[in-house]
Amino acid sequence: MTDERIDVLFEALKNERPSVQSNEVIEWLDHAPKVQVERNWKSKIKLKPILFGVLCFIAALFVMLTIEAESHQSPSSPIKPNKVKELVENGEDSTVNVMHTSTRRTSEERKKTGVLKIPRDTLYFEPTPVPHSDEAPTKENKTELVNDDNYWTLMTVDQSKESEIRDYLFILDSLQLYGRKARFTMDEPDCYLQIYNDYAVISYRFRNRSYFSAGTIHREETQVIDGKTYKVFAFQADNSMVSSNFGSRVFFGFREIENRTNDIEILFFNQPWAPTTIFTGHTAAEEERRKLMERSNSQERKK
Amino acid sequence: MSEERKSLFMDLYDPNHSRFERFCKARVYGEMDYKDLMHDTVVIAFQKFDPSFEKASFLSFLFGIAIRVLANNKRRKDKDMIHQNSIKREDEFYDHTIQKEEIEQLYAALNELPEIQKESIILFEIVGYAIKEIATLHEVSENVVKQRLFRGRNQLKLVLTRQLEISKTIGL
Repeated sequence: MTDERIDVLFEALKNERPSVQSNEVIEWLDHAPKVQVERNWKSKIKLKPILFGVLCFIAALFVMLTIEAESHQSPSSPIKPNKVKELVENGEDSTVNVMHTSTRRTSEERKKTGVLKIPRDTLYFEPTPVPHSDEAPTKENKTELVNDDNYWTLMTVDQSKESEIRDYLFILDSLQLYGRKARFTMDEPDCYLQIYNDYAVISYRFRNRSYFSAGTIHREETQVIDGKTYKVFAFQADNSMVSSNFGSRVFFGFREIENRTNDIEILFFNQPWAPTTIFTGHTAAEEERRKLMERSNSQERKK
Repeated sequence: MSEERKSLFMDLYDPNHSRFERFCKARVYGEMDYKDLMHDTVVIAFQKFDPSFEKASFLSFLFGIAIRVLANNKRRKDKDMIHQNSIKREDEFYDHTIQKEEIEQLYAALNELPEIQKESIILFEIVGYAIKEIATLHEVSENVVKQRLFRGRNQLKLVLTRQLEISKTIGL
């Protein structure tokens, strides 16, 4: 049968007169069971407007949560300024006299000079109980190492003084993010944290990235974090060895791990006092201390 | 049941009656009596009928019910009963035109197509539905409907050609 013939037949069927008449249909209705089926809930509820409303609600919730998360990331509320005592003698014309504070600064102020100059009386700064050593690095006698920027440095440790108040040297073994279970070992075995008198140095290498920060401690206290007691410190990084962290504040604390002699836990904080990173380590043995000294002294210094 | 409700129903049904009957005739050829399908569908439609129904969608409403009725009847069909009904109503079923045998052949050929292709061709060629309307009824895209129509039409031709050859072979 050809296409044309099929089309003709279809056309004929389209034009076919109905066999069933209307009155027959009405009879069917008259004899139909007298049951009125209620519209089901699906037809009653208009789904599209409800779906649109739910989507709008979810979008609004998402926006609110995003705004709330961003507000938590903003700098903390200003800390009441304390009386300032000059501890580091820096030239007044120093172009690197950049200090970070916890007070908020506008972006226009930052754009003006590229550096942030804060009047000294607004600095959050506490005097240390013990004046720092005369041999502590200052801007005038700072030395720059010829090592590559990615390579971390050691500070020369002078252990000859008898009147030191603090003398801690911890070798860092591993780190983990606060609240996470995964623990990672340091890249090298001579990563360390040193506290000597009122001066602190942290130096480690992790996943091929170096971190070094050193500065004078301006705060020491005892704090309980998640039921554990830490001796906490805060210092402001100077540019004695490297300038990358210059001016930034470092907050950390340490405690001895229970039933494990010489093992310590060092907790680093982001904003005071929100814990971010946990280092585990141990008190440096004599041999480790000796090796650190050797390494530090062997580094070339440009004068 | 109120007369008013029946009247409203018939207002919607009457303009669609002829197309609905053509659909039922073509759809159930060889399976059941088309009047039974019409009756079952109309009764259910009247029970579910709401005066707020739109006129444009009423025919699709009827088709939807008819398809579900067919699906239910497939499970409990009695071939012998159907065959007798088909023969009994032959006089009413066929028009007294020369095309009588060819139309019968066409119906038989349609019956050999896959269900969904058969339904698509019936809606398009016999009921006069647009491709878009068929797509809405079957909840598929227009391209799918076009494919079904194209393949169904080709298959139909093959079946009709085969039937013709068989007829010639056995001398009908």
